[in-house]
Amino acid sequence: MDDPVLPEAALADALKLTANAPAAWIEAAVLIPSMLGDLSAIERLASDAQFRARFHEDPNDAVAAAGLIPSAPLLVALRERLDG
Amino acid sequence: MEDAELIARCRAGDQTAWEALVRRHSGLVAAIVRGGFRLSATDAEDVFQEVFTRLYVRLGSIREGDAVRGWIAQVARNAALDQIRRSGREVVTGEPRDESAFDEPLRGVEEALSVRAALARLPAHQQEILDRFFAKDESYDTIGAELGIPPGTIASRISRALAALRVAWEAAEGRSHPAEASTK
Repeated sequence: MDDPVLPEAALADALKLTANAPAAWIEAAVLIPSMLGDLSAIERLASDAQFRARFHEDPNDAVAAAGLIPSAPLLVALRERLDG
Repeated sequence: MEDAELIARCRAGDQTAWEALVRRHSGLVAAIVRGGFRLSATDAEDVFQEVFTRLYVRLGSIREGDAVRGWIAQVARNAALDQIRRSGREVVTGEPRDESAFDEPLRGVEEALSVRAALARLPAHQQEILDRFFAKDESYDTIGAELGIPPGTIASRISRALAALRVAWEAAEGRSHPAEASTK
């Protein structure tokens, strides 16, 4: 039978586990839209077979060759679009 | 405002809706990457940003806005596992290897979040002392100085607040302590 209650030590652990995300993390996530810019640029790259092949070989090189800065959000966004 | 409406507004370019969506689910993602999978601070932050980047890219294709919380949890789980694999940390949780074993941290996080939700139903002074001591890891001296209460009384205040939290959580979960149930 399941334990019907959580001991108070478990409650304390739960509070530790769910401490708020650092403000800096949240602020950075809020800025993701401005970091990525126009999503249509990502769509254009994703529909380009040559870019896709190059991206799978070397993501940083492919993005730079497309004239963009290979920032972490852009690389994640492209992976999500190409692999997701 | 429901997630579905926030997502619709995000699609229309509403930056405040995006911020609200991030803030609403930041606790879930942070709990999964830090508490559930115990990533290092750097890895946890990277995965946190990855999850919200993936969410942003997917906003246009999410069909059921109300299911976004589960979607975020799964993306966070998978991204955390990928990060662990990249770092070379051991991820095997038992034999035979069973992918569902990696869901255990998610279940723990869900329960922990239900405790966090119960915390919000306590009086403000009890919320604050528990959050400072357990989540922010502040010392008795710091808490005493910040809240203007004698450090010698803090342990008993924490104990009372924890007891109140247990009652609030059990009430919310539809559970009751056997000893208390028998007196009702």
